Amino acid sequence: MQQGMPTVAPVPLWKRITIGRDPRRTLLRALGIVTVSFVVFRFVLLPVRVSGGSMEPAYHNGSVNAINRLAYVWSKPQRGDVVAVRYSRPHGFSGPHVMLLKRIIGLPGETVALTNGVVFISGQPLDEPYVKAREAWQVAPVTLAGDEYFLIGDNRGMDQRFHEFGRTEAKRIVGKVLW
Amino acid sequence: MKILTRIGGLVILLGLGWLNWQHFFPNEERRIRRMLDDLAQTASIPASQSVVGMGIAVDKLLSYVTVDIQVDVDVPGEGRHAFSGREEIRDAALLAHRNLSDLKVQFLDVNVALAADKRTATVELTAKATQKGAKEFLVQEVKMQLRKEDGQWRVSRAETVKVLKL
Repeated sequence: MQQGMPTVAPVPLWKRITIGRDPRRTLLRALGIVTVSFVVFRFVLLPVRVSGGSMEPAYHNGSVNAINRLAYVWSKPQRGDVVAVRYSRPHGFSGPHVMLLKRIIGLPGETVALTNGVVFISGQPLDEPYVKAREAWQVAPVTLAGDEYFLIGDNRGMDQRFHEFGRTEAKRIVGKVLW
Repeated sequence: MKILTRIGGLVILLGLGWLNWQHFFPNEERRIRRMLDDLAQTASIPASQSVVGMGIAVDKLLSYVTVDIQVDVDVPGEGRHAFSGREEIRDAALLAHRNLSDLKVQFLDVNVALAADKRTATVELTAKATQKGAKEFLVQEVKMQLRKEDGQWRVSRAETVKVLKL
């Protein structure tokens, strides 16, 4: 009597492509991917789509980016950083639905002023190579509190009245733009 | 295995029961969130609207606010505007309906803080208004005071909060 190897029915190609050779393992893999994606895109990286031209020419209307929410866990925001600022606090696990994208030009305790479009930090003009268009914006000197940053867009070629800029509390900064 | 299946079934049943309970007997916070969803929908302006439709929409909008409503808005480029009472709100709403079309209003990131007496509440939200075809949209943080009148939650005060201040 001849004892043969147990025969394993071959898995059809369509089944291998859709649910894999071992459905249980595929399910575990899928759960793993979903969990990792959920954690990464909820708590670490927030995908965003830029709307409007206040950050031109560095960030164009409609471009896609991501916000690193852990950027300021171990360090403080720096001058020149492009950050996302929230409006009302997000509810539950979700990140904010809408955010402002601005560049930090003033740090806590500093005095910020704009004279004919030139930024002055505690009386010294600020070199801003990222600004390509400049209108004669005027802002009287404002001294920032210990938890405040001064944020502004790169597009200074637009009318000052339609450009949202100014000081905000550190708690409103969601994170730093990834690229 | 049989026990596991039964436990799984029971958990699903309990979950469905809880969802049903929440739907039919919502707590105050859920009632407020529903009211705000309806308010955002009512504040939106359709692409085309008859005069009668406009009147109905504005009247419905007024049913969401108290008689002594106070509104204080500061829109970038538009300046500060204050309204008080239903009549001023009606005039402002009619003006908006006459001058705007296809405007979608959304209330996002809504935070509700209910007072201990459960008769008043403070709401912080992000209001987003998008007009079809427009390149940009208007976003403002809004703080609202709500009051419960005749079993209905109504807005008694609304003011915009500046995220970036000079």
